[in-house]
Amino acid sequence: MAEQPSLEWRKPIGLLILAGFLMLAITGATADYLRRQYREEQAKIQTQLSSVGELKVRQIAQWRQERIADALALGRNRAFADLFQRAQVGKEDPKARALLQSWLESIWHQHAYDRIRLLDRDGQELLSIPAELPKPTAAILRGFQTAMAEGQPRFQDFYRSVEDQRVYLSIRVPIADPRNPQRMLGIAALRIDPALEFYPFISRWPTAAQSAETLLVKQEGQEVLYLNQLKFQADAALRLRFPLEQQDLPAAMAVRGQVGVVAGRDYRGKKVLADLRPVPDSPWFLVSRMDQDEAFEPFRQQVLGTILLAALLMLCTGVTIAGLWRHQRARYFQARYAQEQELAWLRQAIARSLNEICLFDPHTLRILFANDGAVRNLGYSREELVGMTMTDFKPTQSPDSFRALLAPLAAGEQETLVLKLTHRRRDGTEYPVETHLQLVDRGHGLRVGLALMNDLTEHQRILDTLQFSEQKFRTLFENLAEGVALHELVLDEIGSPLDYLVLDVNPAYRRHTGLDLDATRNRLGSELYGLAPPPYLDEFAQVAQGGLPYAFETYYPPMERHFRISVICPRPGQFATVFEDITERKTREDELRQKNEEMERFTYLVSHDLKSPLVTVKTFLGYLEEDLGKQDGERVKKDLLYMHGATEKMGRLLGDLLEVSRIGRVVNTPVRTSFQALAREALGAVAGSLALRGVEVTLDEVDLPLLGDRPRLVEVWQNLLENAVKYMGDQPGPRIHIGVERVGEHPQFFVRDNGQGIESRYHGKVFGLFEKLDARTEGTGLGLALIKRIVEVHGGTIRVESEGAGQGSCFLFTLPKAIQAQGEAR
Amino acid sequence: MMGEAFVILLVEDEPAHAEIVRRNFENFRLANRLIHVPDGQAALDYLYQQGDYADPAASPRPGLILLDLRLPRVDGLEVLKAIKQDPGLAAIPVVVLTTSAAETDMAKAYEFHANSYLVKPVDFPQFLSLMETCGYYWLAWNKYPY
Repeated sequence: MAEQPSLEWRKPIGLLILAGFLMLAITGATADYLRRQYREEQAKIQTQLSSVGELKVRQIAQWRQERIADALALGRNRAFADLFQRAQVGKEDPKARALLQSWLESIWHQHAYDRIRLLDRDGQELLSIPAELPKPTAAILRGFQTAMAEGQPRFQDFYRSVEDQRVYLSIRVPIADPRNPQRMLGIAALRIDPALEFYPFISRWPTAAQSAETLLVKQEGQEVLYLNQLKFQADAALRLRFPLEQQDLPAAMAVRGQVGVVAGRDYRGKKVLADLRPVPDSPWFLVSRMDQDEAFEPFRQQVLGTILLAALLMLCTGVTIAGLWRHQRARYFQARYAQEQELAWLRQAIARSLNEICLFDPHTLRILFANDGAVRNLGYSREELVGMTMTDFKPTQSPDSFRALLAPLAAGEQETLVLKLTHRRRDGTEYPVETHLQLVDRGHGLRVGLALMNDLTEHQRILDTLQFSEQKFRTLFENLAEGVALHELVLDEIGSPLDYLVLDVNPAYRRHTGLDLDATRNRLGSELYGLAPPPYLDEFAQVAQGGLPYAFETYYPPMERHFRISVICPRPGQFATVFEDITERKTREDELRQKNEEMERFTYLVSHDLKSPLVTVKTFLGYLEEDLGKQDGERVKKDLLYMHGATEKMGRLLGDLLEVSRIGRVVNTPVRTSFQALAREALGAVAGSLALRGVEVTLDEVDLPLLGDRPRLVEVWQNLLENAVKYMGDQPGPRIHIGVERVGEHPQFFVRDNGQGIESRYHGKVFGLFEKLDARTEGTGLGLALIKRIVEVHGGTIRVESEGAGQGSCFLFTLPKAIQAQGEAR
Repeated sequence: MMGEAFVILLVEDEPAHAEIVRRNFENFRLANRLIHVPDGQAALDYLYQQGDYADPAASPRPGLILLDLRLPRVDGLEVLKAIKQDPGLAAIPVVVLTTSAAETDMAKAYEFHANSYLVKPVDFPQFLSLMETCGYYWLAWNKYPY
């Protein structure tokens, strides 16, 4: 079953947290930015207001000083006082009057006074500009008297004229007597119409602010009185007043003594910012105010822009997060779709499976589901099957026995059960099945039996074939004459062959090796054969790793056997060896080779040694012809001598060759004899030459029974004696001793002389065919070779001992077969 | 052309064969320069001026060696090997003169640096012809540095 990825839809908490965090960050940053902007804006407005206020207050103060200066210029002026005296009523000096008139006119012109009156101390008007003014009221006249009594010029604060109901200011200037400054001559009253210059000046604002305006106020009783014309309320001067206690009215605050920028509500009830400050040397207070709405308008614009931007940012963030969310959901649904496709495919695969698959109720054994395989194999329709129980098509099971089978599954002791059962088709035929049973949890504590059934018909057929094949090869394996062993190669850490494990061997292997069958299986080669590395590891490893069969013949010293070993590789890392004991064949082969070599040498020697006299004969025959022609008698005699010698040599050679070829081939019947008998017979045969040379012969008295080819054995001693005589040299007292001694395993016979002796380097050569040590001596060089053959035929060896030239020699030999045979015969 | 003491050493165990060679050399009036030794050991003794040939005056260094292979005591091939392994003797041409036509003998002889390998013919005229040719070749035509 394919891996099922967990496909639960998880709320994108991470995304939500991220979104929240981003929103918070944007909001925080915006708020912080706006707060700082607000502070900056506020500071800017405050600066603007306070600078406007400060400027105005300074200008108003200056204006007032200028007015006082004007007044003092008249009131303390001796020339003016003189002219005034001269023009007084009663003196009627027209010249002085005209001068006064033009003086005052110049002031009137220059300083834009509204009107100027000149009165004497009795209140009689001297003159006025413009002329013909209405008479002053009694209140005004009283004011004049008060001013003259004080003797100082003074400002008459804003007042409303009864005459025309307009607001004016005036300055009353008492005119002192130059001779007696305490005495006042009269008074000059300079009236100012504020609407002309003063009010416009006050209401002038240096910026284009719509709501900005400057108010001039003063305290009057428990009220604050507005002194100038207002921008937003007509005819307010000296009419608009508010109680002093009105807390948030900037004008009241100013009068209450507050200085600096404040926030409050003005006479219109609107929220304003205002700069408050008193006008020095006056009862006035200046309020420079501006509507908060207007003041913060640019800031509000900025706030709006910023908030819009933040909102846009948040929107973007939201859209992105939502996009991510959608993407995740889309992926989730895609995965779910793929999973469902997979499931659908799996369902189909199960339904169409060739195996029979059934779901059944584990209690009633009723079939709940059967796939196509079950329908096809059993021959029932699906509808029929679903009505049946599991045991209906199992002829070997009853419902109870089947339930008993399910018991370990129901108890939870086993996860699955694998059973070999028989199914019966609808048509009654039966077939073997392998059934896998399982209880599958369906949720809610319900369990459903799952049966997966495999038709074993084909399987059984293959199994039978295999079994037959296995039996066939097993029989072959067990009965094979060759030893067969199956091995597995053992490697070291770096992958080099280290050893091999014997997996299986056949009985022949045991016969060949003598190793116990059970002792060999699953043992390491090194252990089994007691060799490390084990025998032939390299050859075997090559086959096990290379896969190519290999065969070789080898001699295995620990067993003293020859084997032909065929190695094949049944599967990588393993190898099978087939041992064939070829010891016998090898021995034969060796013998044959030895014989062949001997034969070769023999023919070579024969061809050479026979050819040599032939050459002599033929050549001297040629010479003989020549010499006969030349009638050279000496030469003819010589030629004949050479030919004679050569033919004789050939004759001897042929005789000896016959002898040699007979040894071992022609065997006389073994007879009982003894050492003494043989030695004596040999001595008899060579008695003539012994006597001729005067050799003294001694013989050991010991006797030893022997069994063998008597004539041949006699030949051994006879030849040795002849040899001894032949090579006696110049020895004046020649002696020969024949004896036997027990040295080692076998009795050792010997013939010792005191003749020429043989140099040690020739000791091996003397026994060779046709070998002669002295070209001058008689003989064919076959004598010792003959003896050697006879000794060897009797299983013995022969060697010579000699101290060197002139030291005599001793031939020693053994005849184990002759002695053994004697022992057996007994 | 040939130095005063040009001597031919004949190593031959068969007296009859030695006689044949001697007779042939008579034709070249060189028989007096032919020195015959009967076996391998004697040949070596002569070359090394030892044993029976200890007198340097009686055993001058040969200019050519005729060597039989089947020899008593020391085999002809061994003699050849000894000569060719000795830097003092290796320069002397050795002509193997034998009855053996065996390939192993030939191969061995050439392996041991024999200068020539001649098989004694059984036929008389052929033997004469061989000896004549061999004599001309080695004694007349062949050049020696001494």
